[in-house]
Order: sequence, then structure tokens, then C-alpha cells
Amino acid sequence: MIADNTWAAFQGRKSLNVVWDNGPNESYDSDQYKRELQETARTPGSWCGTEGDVDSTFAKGGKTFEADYYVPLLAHAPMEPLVALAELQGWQGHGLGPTQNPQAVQDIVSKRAGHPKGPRDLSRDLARRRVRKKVQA
Amino acid sequence: MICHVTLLGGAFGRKSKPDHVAEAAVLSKKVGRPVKVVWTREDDIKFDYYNTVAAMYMKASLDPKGRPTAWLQRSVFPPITSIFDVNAVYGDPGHLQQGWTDVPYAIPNLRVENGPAKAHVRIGWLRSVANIYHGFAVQSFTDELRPPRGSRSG
Repeated sequence: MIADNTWAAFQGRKSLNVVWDNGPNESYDSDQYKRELQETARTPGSWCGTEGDVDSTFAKGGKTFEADYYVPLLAHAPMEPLVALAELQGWQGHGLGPTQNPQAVQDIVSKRAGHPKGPRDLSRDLARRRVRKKVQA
Repeated sequence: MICHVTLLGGAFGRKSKPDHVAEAAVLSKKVGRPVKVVWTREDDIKFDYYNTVAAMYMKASLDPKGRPTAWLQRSVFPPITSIFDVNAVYGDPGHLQQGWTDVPYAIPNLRVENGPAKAHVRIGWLRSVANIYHGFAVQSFTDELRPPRGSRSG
């Protein structure tokens, strides 16, 4: 929803009657999924590291302990939700935002413009200024 | 297009994704005017690239002094690589190394395992990444194996 101000955008969005295609994960149920993960965790898996002989040591008996742990999906939940500015004429112009991956921004825009391997006109102004300052100092 | 990077402000890992800036650029191209994109907090939470959900199974046997003689740990989580390959179900070595294959204990019999899990939401990086769930399991289990105060014999 594009509008002249945030309030107008919210009001405009309310007026939409969107029918979403929920895709192949429509039936995803996080409670059911949790049970599936825990069942898989109780099933022999792929080995990624081993020392000595775990199975024969367990087979000897003695005090053994088992435990299950679970961590849910974690959202980043930054105080400032995602934001960005852009001004393009045709496919030329400027984008500005807090991203760790400006190259990927340019890759997406280049692809949309029909140049899958477009030139990387990269400007990391802040980093450059800092480097320059450091060099001068 | 020139991409200018501002101060990130946090949410490292989420900001490694370019979608929000690309969204502004594509919208600006379409409307032919400058565009400011601001996600709602609700959309931000619901459409994040989440740090993955994980289940860990731990098993250990102890000698009479309470020291581990054998230790098995198995983690199951949809991997970050699922955002590049929907069929990826096992953890990649880089993330299995985070708090999992690098167990910091000298235990004579030790096995580290990983089970398959298919992703149903977007999985991404969140600071410390796989250490979050692996560290939680290894350290919690260590605490729970420790004998009650005053009962230690060695």
C-alpha cells in the first residue's frame, strides 16, 4: 500500500479484500511440528562427530540420564521495524537503508531490470568516510 | 542503482537480507517517485527470517564420582540452507560446529548427531545463530547432571 502518509496507508490497507495463497506450507502447525522434531530427536541420526564407543559404554549400565530440550523460532523483533528509502528513475537511482548486504540489493534490482549480472555500482558511504577518517588520522 | 548503507541499528542477521531495500527500489521504479518503506511491527514479526526452532536429545552415563563416561547428543532443526534449497534438511557443517561438534568437555566416549527437519518458514541468521539452541541444551544438561550441593564425592 503506497500513500502520502502512514495513516492513509493504513486506511487504504483496511479497504483491501485480499485473498491470500498460503502456498505449500498452509497446513504448517507449530505444535504438531514440535512433536515431529522431538520424535526425530529420539531417533538415531546422522553422525557428525564421535570419540570412543558410546553405545558399548551405555550398554554397561550404571547411572544414565536423558533429557529433551526445545527452543522455538526466534524473531529478531528490532525496536525499529524494517525501513528503507529509494528514488529511482527507470532502474537508475539510489536506495538507502540498514542492510548488511547492499550487493544483494543491487543483484535483485539488476535482475528486475533484466541485467542478471549488472554492474555493481556500490557506495557504502558511511564505511568509506570512516575509513578515510582513519587514514587521515 | 547505488545502494547506500545506513547505521544498521540492530537485528544483525535479519539485516543481512536485502528484501526491504529492494522493495523500496522496485516500488519507486514502478511509481516513478521517491518511496519510503516502513514495515509494520506485525509484519516484521510474522515475516521474519527466524532463528530456527530446534529439538535436542541428550543422554549421558556417569561414573560413581558423577563424571560422564559416555555422552550422546542429537539435535534436529530445519537448516538455514533451506532458504537456498527447499530440500535441505540437515544442518550444514558451519552451524553444526556452533555449540555442537565443539563440545568443550573431555569425555572419553562422545557422539554428536544431527537429525533431518524440513523447513516450513523462512530460516535466517540471528546473532550467535546455532549456539543459541545448542548452548542451551549442552549447558542445561550439564547443570542437571551435576549432583546436588553437598553430595559430591569427588
